[in-house]
Amino acid sequence: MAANGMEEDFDDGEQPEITTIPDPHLRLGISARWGTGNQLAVHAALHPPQEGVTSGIQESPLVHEVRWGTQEVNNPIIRKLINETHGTFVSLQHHQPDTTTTNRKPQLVKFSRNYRSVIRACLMQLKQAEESARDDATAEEYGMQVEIYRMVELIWSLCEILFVETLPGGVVLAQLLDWVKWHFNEADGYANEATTSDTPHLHDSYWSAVYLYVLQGRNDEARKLLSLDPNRNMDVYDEYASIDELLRKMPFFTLYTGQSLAEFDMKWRHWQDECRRRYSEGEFNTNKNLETICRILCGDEDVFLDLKDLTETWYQMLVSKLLYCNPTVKAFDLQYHVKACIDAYDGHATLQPLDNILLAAIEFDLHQVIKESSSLLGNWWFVAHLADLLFQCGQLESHSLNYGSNLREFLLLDYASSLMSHPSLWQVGASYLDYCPEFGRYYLEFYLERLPLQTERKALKVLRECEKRDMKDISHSICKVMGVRALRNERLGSALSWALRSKDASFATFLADRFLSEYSSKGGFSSLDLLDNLGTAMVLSDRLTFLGKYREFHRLHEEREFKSAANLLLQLLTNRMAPKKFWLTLLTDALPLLESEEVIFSTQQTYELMNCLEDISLSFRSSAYLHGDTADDAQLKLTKGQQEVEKQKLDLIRLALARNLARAILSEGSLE
Amino acid sequence: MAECIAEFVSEKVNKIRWRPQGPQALQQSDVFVSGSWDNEENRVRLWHLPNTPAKTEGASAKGQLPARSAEPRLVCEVPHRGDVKDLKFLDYDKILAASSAGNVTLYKHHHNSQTLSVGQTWESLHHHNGHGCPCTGLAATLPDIVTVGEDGRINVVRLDHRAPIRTIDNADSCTLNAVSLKAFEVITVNSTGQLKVFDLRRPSSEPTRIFLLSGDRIPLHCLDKHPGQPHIVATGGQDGSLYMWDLRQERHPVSVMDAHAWDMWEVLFHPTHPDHLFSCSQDGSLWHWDVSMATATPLAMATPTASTPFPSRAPAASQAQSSPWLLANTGKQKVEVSSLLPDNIMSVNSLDIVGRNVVCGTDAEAIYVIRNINIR
Repeated sequence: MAANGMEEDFDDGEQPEITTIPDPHLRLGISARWGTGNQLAVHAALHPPQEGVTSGIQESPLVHEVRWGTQEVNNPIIRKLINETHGTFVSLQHHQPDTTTTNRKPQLVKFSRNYRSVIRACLMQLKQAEESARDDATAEEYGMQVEIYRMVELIWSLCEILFVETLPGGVVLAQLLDWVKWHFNEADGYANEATTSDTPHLHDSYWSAVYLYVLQGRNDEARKLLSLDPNRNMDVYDEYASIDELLRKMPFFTLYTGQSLAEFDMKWRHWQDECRRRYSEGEFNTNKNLETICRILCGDEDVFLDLKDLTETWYQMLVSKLLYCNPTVKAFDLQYHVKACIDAYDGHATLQPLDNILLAAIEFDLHQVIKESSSLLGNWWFVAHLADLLFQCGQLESHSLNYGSNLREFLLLDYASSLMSHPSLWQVGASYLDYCPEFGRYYLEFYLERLPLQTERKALKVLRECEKRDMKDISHSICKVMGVRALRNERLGSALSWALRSKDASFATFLADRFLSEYSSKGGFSSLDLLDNLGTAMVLSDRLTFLGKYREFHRLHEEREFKSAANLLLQLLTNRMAPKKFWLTLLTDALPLLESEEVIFSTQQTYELMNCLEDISLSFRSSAYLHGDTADDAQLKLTKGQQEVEKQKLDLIRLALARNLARAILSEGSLE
Repeated sequence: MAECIAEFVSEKVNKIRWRPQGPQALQQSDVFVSGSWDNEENRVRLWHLPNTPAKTEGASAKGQLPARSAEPRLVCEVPHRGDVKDLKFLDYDKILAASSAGNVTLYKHHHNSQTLSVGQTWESLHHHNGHGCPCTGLAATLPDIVTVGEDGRINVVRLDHRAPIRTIDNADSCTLNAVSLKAFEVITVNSTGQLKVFDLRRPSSEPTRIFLLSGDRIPLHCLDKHPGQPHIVATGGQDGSLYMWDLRQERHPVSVMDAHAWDMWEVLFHPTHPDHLFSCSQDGSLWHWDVSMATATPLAMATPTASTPFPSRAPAASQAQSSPWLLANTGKQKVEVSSLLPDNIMSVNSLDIVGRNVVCGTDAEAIYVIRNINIR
């Protein structure tokens, strides 16, 4: 359902991806089964399956495993990112949302920075891996990842400026400058090239570096570089000194210096008027390069077009242009300045997906940002975390989608699903599903139930996840799976411990029966350490209680506590705790007690035993009569020889009871 | 002050152990080994911890994360079949690893080439009718190595012997979760809250003693014996509580302390300062227990002992004074507990301590090294 919805909305106009499976048998038809998460088991099958028609497959048929959206999860560096950001994500969910908006913001910015620092670390490790890759294929793969996370970082930091760290008044230019400086440091490269040459000022890159520094508002660096020009005469006031003065005096608006916007605006106008005056007076006519700088300072529109090769992209140009034309621009007004810059770079038609994402961000169209990002990056990590952060900031209106719940939850579910598809990251995935209020629990139940349980330790961990979330049915079924597995391995004790853990009465009854039949056939109990110490757990099922008590009888017997053993035995028979088919065994167990030297059973007790004996003989007769040869229960159907043995046993017990009765009457009589 | 270093290692860590000190080493160990679980391919990895965190170096490069040099560095690794269930250094360069496939493998660390190689493998020591099942624990006092598993079996193996020299089938009807060796006595804990002692000198395969939790049969996951007084054993189980047992006393734990919210996966006494104990849990916590605070005066103890109506209990009580751990929940002993990983949320599966440094591995695929723990 969700998958269909996604295709309609996100992949409009795009072709579905086609994967070819090289297996000639598949032309017969394909059948598929879901694995865990993003995983299908595909095999050849006739459609529809017909009785008696063979598929004609000669060799052994193959089952293909098809996975998607999990490649990046297998990258060890991305796994670090996943695990590290998981912690940040959880603490973001737990931080107190009830505080007022003004107090929350610094915290949210901190979370955003935290994410970014992890992205940064990941990016650096990817770069390192790319450089040290042993073969081209891995290098290429890492190169692709580097590209993706570079874009992720770029988009994330722009979104942080626009949506998370929104400053009062909405003046964003200082942050945008930082953004450009941080991500595009070609200027440093140019400067480096120039300064390492013998004659820096003649180097091709020299002026590129100076312009770019000025365009990015890095005036100090620009001035430093300018001072290297030997044409400059330090002692006289010339055009170099003039431009140096202009650069030095350029006002920057920063929020924390305490100046008001109007105050800054006035200073700015004053400074720019001065630039224009010097320009129109022709101070820089003799030096074309300095004239260009001055034109930048004046905010001359044409000069930005001339330098568009240096700014490289429309968004860098946008920031440079705003710096000198409109330094107090508000975040919401950014979009009105975009068109001119895009046109400078051949217009809307040539925009790349990344441009579209940044454009959408500047236009405050968050849904577009997320939509484009998910199709460009093919990476659920980014969109899920970004959407969540924006949701926490209150920027992502919770308007519901036509599939499932809101966008944040939809993305988190997809991200968690890709984690759940990984053999090892299910705990992280489960944690993300916890924060999907609407569907998370259902998803989680499905996933947890299908996790392969290789060891008991893993089963315990999965159980813990279930108990944490009060998923009784799932934990019950996990215990059952483990119990049945132990049973198959002939580990009755272990199986019983799983039954006790899940308080599964019917399974416990079944196991108790197995113990009893084991006793009947082998004449002894296994798992004594468990049975002897059942304690209160034995009340889980009647049969288990009987088993526990019966074992207690044996222990008393071994410890020569005959009186209490006899009492217990009688109790088991008279309160109908023992299953009927076991009565004969119990009465046989009474034989040594009946035959012992001192009288153990009183007359009253002997009568009760006799009563039981009659019950059995009757039921034997009636079952033989009623079922006869038609009885389909194999256990009830005894051979002639076995019936003979049973009859002999009954006679023996009857005799012993009679003798005991006689002795009991005598001893009781003599006491009086 | 304690400082904590985290390193994400891209695999869930199930076991972690410091290497014992080398023959001539004076410094404390800076090498540890980790074993992963639940991965498509599990590994045993050897890590080196650079000695001092150099804070001045890394900060110079702009944009670089500072002080990366202090984080553990991977020395070498070797693939391991199945989850790594337990790890043990036999000596300076021999590592024994237990696998969920039922094997036990001896790895050798070659110092010259810095590689790990397989020295010896005991296949299917633990099995259900020939199908391997997890080996859950190891203990060794050379030449004997004892292994326990989910099949309730105890094996005694020796280096250079291909087959186990002794096997106790059905030593337990349930899963044995951990094992410890005290001279010739094997101490095990199982998944129904029982602690058993087997004597290897006796031919019988019956345990010499069975101790159990009173009340519910809480599965016990781990145990460690007191380094100086081996009759004192600490165990932790599913309910996260810390149980202290006195093997000279009968049947039940001497003290029970409520501790972690969920399963306690590992408990360890400090090897040289046994008044300190460390435990870690599924709930993501790593605790440092400290009973070195002034103990209750023997005089205060003596008065009630004399007038106690059960004279048979008196000798036991006076013996118990010998260790503060056995008094821990009587209210006469002050126990200080501090949490070493306050921000962690994912299960801490294993820990080890040497000197004042603790290392632990988690399901968040991270290894934490905590240096300079306060040990008096």
